[in-house]
Order: sequence, then C-alpha cells, then structure tokens
Amino acid sequence: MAVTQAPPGAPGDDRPEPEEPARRGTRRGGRGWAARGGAWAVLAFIVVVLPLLLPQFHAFRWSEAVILAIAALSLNVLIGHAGQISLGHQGFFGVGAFFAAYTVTVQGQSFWVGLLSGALTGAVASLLMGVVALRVRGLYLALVTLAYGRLAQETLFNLPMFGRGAGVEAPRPEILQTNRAFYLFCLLTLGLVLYLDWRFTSSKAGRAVSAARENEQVASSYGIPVARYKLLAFVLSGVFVGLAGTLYAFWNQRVDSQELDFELALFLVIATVVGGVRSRVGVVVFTTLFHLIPDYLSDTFGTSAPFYSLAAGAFLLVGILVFAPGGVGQIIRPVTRWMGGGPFSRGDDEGFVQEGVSGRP
Amino acid sequence: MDQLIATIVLGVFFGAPYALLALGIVLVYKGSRVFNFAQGEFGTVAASAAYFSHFWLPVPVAMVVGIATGVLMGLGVERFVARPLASAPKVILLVATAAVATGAIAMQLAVGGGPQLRTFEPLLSGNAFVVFNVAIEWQRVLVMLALAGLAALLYVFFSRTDLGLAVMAASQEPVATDLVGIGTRRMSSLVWGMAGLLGGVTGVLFAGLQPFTPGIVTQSLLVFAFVAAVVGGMTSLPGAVLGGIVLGLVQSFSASYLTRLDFVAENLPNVEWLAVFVLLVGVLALRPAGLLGKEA
Repeated sequence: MAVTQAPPGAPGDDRPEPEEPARRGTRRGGRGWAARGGAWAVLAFIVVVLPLLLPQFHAFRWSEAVILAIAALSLNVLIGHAGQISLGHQGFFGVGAFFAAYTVTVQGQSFWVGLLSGALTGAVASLLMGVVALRVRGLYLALVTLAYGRLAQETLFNLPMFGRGAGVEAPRPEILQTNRAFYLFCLLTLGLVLYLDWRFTSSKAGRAVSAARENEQVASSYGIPVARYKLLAFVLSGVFVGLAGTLYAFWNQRVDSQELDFELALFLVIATVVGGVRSRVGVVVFTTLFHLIPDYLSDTFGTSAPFYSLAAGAFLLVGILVFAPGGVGQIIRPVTRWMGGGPFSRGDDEGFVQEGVSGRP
Repeated sequence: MDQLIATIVLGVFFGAPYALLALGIVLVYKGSRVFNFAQGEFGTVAASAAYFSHFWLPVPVAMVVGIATGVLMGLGVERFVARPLASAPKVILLVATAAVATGAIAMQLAVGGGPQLRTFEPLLSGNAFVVFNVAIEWQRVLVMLALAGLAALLYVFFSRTDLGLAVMAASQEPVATDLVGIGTRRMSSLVWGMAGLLGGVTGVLFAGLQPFTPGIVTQSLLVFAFVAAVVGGMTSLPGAVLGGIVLGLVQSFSASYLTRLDFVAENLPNVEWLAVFVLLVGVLALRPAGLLGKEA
C-alpha cells in the first residue's frame, strides 16, 4: 500500500484530473492588442489632437480643466496618500498663482523662473500647513485649513505686493501665446505630475506615507519617521498645487482673488473624493468632466446650468460617500485595467475596491 | 475710553450671531461627534424660505415658516446623510455635510436665478441705542435676546431634563442606550432637528441685518462660528456662547486698534481674519479643549 498518494493526474491515480486554473488574459500584448491599441489611439486623439483642430476657444477651456485636474491630484496626495484633509486648498493654489505672476510682472523674471517660483511658493505654504498638521488632527485640521483658505482670500491675496486687491498681470511667453500651445503645455505638466505621483507612490517614501495613513502608531513602531514623511507629503502636494496655480495665472494672464474662493476649495474636494481617492485616473477623468460639462451645458441651456451641475456634483459626492467610496476610479476600474493590458474586471487583488477615503475596507 | 467701550459693545453684539450658529454646531457635535458644515445653510435656506413666503404672509409668520424649513432641512440631513454614514470616519461626514452645504447653495442659486441680493425686513427696524457713535440696531438686540434665550433653554434641557440626558446617552453610548429602550435614531433626529431650528433662527434673524444672497450665512458666519465653537470648547454649549462673544471681541478689537498701526494698515488688509486665524491655531495648540470644554 503506497504511503504517499500519487499526484492527481499521474498514471497510478483514478481521481479525475484537476481542472486547469482559468487564465484570464493576464498576458500583456497578447490577444486584444488591436482593440486596446485602438482605444489608446482614440483617447490620444481626443485629448491631444482634437483641441488642436477645434477653434482655439475649446483649447482655452480644456486648459483650465487640465489645470484643475493637476490641483485635484495635489489634493489627492494629501487626502488619498497621506490621509490628511484640506478645505482651504484654494489658498495654496492662489499663493502659487500670485507669486508666479508677481515674479514675472513685478520682478521682471522669465516665465520659467515664474513657474519655478510658483511651485516653490506652493511647497513652502503647504509645508507650513504641514507643520500645523503635526499638532492638529482630523476634523480640527480641516477647520484650520478652512480658516487658512479664507485668510488667504481676504488677506494674503490682497497684500500690497499682490496688487492690494487689484490683482496681478501674468503675460504668457512667446511660445505659449496661442491657446493651443498653452493647452499642450498644460498636458505636458499634467503628464509630469502624474509621473511624479506614480513614482512617489511606488517608492519607499510613498509606502511610508501610506503606512502612516493607515495607522500612525504601528508605522512609527516599525521605525518610520512619521512626521518627516507627513511633511514630505505636504511638500509634494504643495509643489503640484503651486504648479497648477502658476499655470492658472498664465492661462488667465492675470490673477485676482475673486475666483479663488471657498467654492474652488469645495470643487477640488468633490473632484478628489468623487474621482476616487488614490485613483489618479479617476481624479483626472472626473475633474475634467466635472469642469467641462457644466461649461458646455450652459452654452446650450443657459446660465443656470452650472448651478444645477454644482448641485448635482454635491449630491453625487454624498452618494459616492454612501454607496461607492472608491469613487469614479473604482467604477471605471474595469476599463482602466483593460487598457493597461489586464482583464476587463473589477478585480480585488489590490484591495482597492472597498477602501475609499478612509483607507480601510 | 469711549472707543474702548464702543469696541467692546460692538464686539459683543457682533459676536452674537456667531454664538447662535456655534450653538447649533456644538449641539450636533455633542449629539453625533460630527462637524456640521451645513449649519450655515440651515440658516440661509430658512432665510430664503422666509423671504419667499413674506410676500403673502405677515413677516412674523414668514419667519416661523423659515425656521420650520430649517428644522426640516436638519431632519433631512440627519436621515439621508448622517445616518447612512454614521459608522464612517468623521472626516467623511464633514465632507458630506460640506457637500450638502454646496448643494444647498447651488440649488438656491439655480432656483433664484443667480447670486441676487435680497433684502428682508427686520422684525423691528431702527436703532435700539447709540453708544459713542456706534449704533446698535434693534435687530441685533433681538439676536442677542434669541441667543440668551435659546442658550438658556438648551442648558436647562441638557442638564435638567430626562430627554436631554437621553440624548447625551445616545451620543456617548449608543449600544447601551438602545438596550435600555431609548431609540437612538429618534435621539439623532431630535438633535439634528434642534440644530436645524438654531440654524433657522440664526438665518432668519441675520437676513434682517443685511441684504442676503445664496450662501451668505456660510460665507460670513460659518467659519467664525466654528472658530467660536472650538475656542469655547466643542462639547460645551455655554462655551459656544462664550466663544462667539470672544470672537466678536477679537474681531472688533483688531478692526479698531490693530488697524491704527501703520504697518498693519499698509500691509495687512482685513487683519481681523489674521487675528481669527491666529486665535484658532493658538487655541488648538495651547488648549485644544477650548475654554470651557472637557475633551480635546
């Protein structure tokens, strides 16, 4: 009598052959490459080529959408990766914009210096908020950021160096004069931000920040210097939002505090949370749609349309929070997986599905 | 000396609306540990309802209609937002109430045809008294009276009545409260309804102070009310009143005295905001529980 059993399927065994585990198109570049390639081509056409063919006016509008998407990605770094909250993000956006405009107009520097200074200003302002965030947690931090946003709008944006309330001009450089050229530049910046965000999350720093988000005490018991990584997240977020603000300044060719209000901060929060925290694609897709759809609707349906869509966005947010915490990113996950070469399914190998804002299933 | 008294009086009376709104915020916090961002909109919606009904109802009745709308909104938010998200992290609830506020503002804008300024007749017009060149309108006195009355009522409710005790129990130990037969859901509705009432009173009275537009209570009062609540202590109703007054005084003193400094007048527009921000961060850094609160 054999002590060990023969493996299933071997000659000495009369159990049925085990079934082959189903392989579900996990091969990249295998079947379906034509369809995927086609989908990517269509996407590239819509995003890159179409605005160049349509009247300049559309490129102008789409640039703003891209700028807001970058700002939403920066908020995503705070809310999604670091688990912090900012209800005053328009404050950082604005100081980046104002300082960049100031550098170019008042100090007479070039556009590129302005770009750099805007990003740096955003980083510094965000770092200062990060220092506050070390002491003040959760709901109270939300309140501080809210107060900061208002402070920025009432005081910081009206400083003498920023025009005392009259705003600052921000002329575009020669090569970015046309709206189409500027749109492409915004796209490039978005690509850069997406790349940097991706590199960050896959780096050791990104993992440390995620660990700190999940449970600070456990993370620090593993030797992670939580405070330092929290500040790093704030700085990264600040760089992104400073860039976005700078682009905004040059997009509009002037900055003034009117548009940089609490509504903008709320827009960004809605965009980030409904887009899906930690889902770069979801955030970008939803932000651009959330911005463009009301604009185009009001062309057709009149000036009340943006109010209705803001209301819809707000209700969407509540609905998402209650029913689908992973947001748009979770909902379109099958599409994004498929386009990346994987199967067209929700999949739960990354624990992404049920996490949502809280970072916990 | 004259200026000092005028500044103090102004500060106290201007702080009253903040305190009134802060009462609602603290109430919701005590009842559900949530920062209710929609508290301001309870007010504006109530004001809008009062405004639209005052065309065919006498003003006092229109005000009651407005307050009732505030209560309804409070109950609605409880049922559709607070309850489904009851077990979610509190930050989510904060974002959700902020979304409610945005939605309410957007709906008002949509239905009202844009950011129109509207004036609502105050219940009593004219000035109650003048203190050293500072006029205090009757409506402001009314706000003060409403504040005092409602604060006193709430205090008695929570410290002396059984129902108040039940509400506190439901917020602190929901499971045990359910076990002894007190309906925690009913308590939750009660709390939010009361918050809606407080917000409604604030909005309806505030509308009589200055022309109002969609979102005005949220824009002008809410941040201050939150700071007032934090300064006074998020779990303390008397703290909310105190915090509101303190905030009013801080604003009034910075507007009167700080702007006298050349440096400030030249370089820091709207320095009251800076003072408020410093106050907020200071309180959170040095005494997170607030002046009268018992927990951080």
